[in-house]
Amino acid sequence: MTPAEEFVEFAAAASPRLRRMAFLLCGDWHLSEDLVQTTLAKMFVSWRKIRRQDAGHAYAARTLVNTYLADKRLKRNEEIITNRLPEHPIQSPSPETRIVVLNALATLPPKSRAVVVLRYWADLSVDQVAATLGCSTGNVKSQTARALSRLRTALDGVAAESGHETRDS
Amino acid sequence: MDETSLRRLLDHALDHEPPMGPVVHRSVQAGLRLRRRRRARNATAGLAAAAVVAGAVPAVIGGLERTPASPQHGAHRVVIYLGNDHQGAVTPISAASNTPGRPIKTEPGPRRLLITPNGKTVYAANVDWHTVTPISTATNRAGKPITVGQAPVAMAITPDGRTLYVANALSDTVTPIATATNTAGKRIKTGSSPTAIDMTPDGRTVYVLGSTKGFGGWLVPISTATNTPGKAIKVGKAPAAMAMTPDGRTIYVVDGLGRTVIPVSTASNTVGKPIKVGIDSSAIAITPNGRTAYVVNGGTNGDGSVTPISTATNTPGKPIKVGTELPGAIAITPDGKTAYVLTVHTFGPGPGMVIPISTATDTPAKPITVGTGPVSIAFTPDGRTAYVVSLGADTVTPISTATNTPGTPIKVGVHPYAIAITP
Repeated sequence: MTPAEEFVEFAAAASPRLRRMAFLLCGDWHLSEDLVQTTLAKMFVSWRKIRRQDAGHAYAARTLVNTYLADKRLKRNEEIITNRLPEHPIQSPSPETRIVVLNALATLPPKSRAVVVLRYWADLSVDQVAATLGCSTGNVKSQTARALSRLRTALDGVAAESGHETRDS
Repeated sequence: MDETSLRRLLDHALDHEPPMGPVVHRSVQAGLRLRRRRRARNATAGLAAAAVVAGAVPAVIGGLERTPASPQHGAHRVVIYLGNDHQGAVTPISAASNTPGRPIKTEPGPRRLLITPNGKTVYAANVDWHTVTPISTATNRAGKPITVGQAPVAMAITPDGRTLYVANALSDTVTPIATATNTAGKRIKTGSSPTAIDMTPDGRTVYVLGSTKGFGGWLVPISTATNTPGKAIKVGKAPAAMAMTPDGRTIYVVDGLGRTVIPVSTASNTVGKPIKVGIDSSAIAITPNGRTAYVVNGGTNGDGSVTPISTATNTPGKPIKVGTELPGAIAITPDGKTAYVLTVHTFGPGPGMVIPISTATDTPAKPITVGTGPVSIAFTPDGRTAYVVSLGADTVTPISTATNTPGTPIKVGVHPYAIAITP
């Protein structure tokens, strides 16, 4: 298999999960697709090196988060202006949960949000999160603590409620 | 809310995931575009030309490392090479666009750079290591590091470009390197702690300067034909810098501790009468016409100065006040009209300063503000732009020599130090 074929295979396998991670970071499916595309384009350029190190997924997470944070820094705005209407769920076990969680995540600063997503959704260890974000483990821990206390106030009611449900996907 | 429920809530946020577009295909297209852009940029940075004009100007430890000056003004593209200390890398910068290219990996502490007379190779001396890294200016790729002695702090090359001499401060040796094969020859024993090295314009003798505790300063001539050292010439107490007149007849050795500059005749290898200068002198530059040597003196309470010395009579002129405690490197424009002095004392939060001195009147002009901690300076072959490296600010500032106005600082790696420019 040529390196290019290998890249396509890797990208096809990794992109769904990357897009979900990007969505949790930015809260917009279209923007998350752009983030994934930028991430994979960057990886394409350095693919030979990444392939040698056999570190595709870690590299992808790191590039994605950095792309997201750089994007945030560049724009300096928390809100994404869009002419699209929010996608209204027609039938859902808990139509509000999704919205409430996304709103709660949106109150976090970009880096804290990245910490939460990497630790509790991507299930990375503190060390792995620190390596991904290029900061100290202490910084990861303090960011986590701050983010959790903020999320608690916003989500406690929902957490209790959704605890009785099972996911249907 | 415990961690388990947070995990579940995050999963809920992904409900109603829409189908994905052709992300992979678009990524490959975007990747190809990105690669083309990068290649175009690196190719610009990699285009190098025929001769060398400005060499590395080490400010703090060594003397002025000169490269044989034979400007050839045919080429349009100038590439600046910067030794980035912290990363062990050399960053090429295209002078046309002032944009840095991809850093070229070396070994720790590439704080001295020298470009061969044919402009084909940049040699980076890895001062914190024991190697010299050759870099092809055509491809901007590093070759295999050449092992020399410990702490290679100074380099000089023969005018024909065949042999590079490297002074190893901690090994008390000089290593000759054949540039055709990039192989090191037998090390030449010198006195202890060689710190500066200079080549006569005829390429026959390389002079190595150092100082040994108890003995004081020494200057050793090495014949490039046989690579054998001659008898050491005693020069002052603890000299740290030297400069040779363009005709190669006289070497001026700066002895900061002895508060003198010592002229040495290269014809007879004898010492002339010491010339009184200020305290803690650390750097020297000679005008291209060879008439005046400018010596940078330290001071206390902002009374640093520069002493002009007439090389015809070896008499010092009136010190030129530069109003800073620790002026560092000095360099003179190719047309000889202006000497630029860098101040290295402001490693704190303050900005760095470059003080232009008119060589016609020996008066300082208004200081030019650059990034914190300026350490070295080099000129483009046409002499229109001076590039000042700021170690503390991680920047390089271009300065128009016509108007003495700084351009936008170029952000480069971490701890940039040495600079060398191809024509």
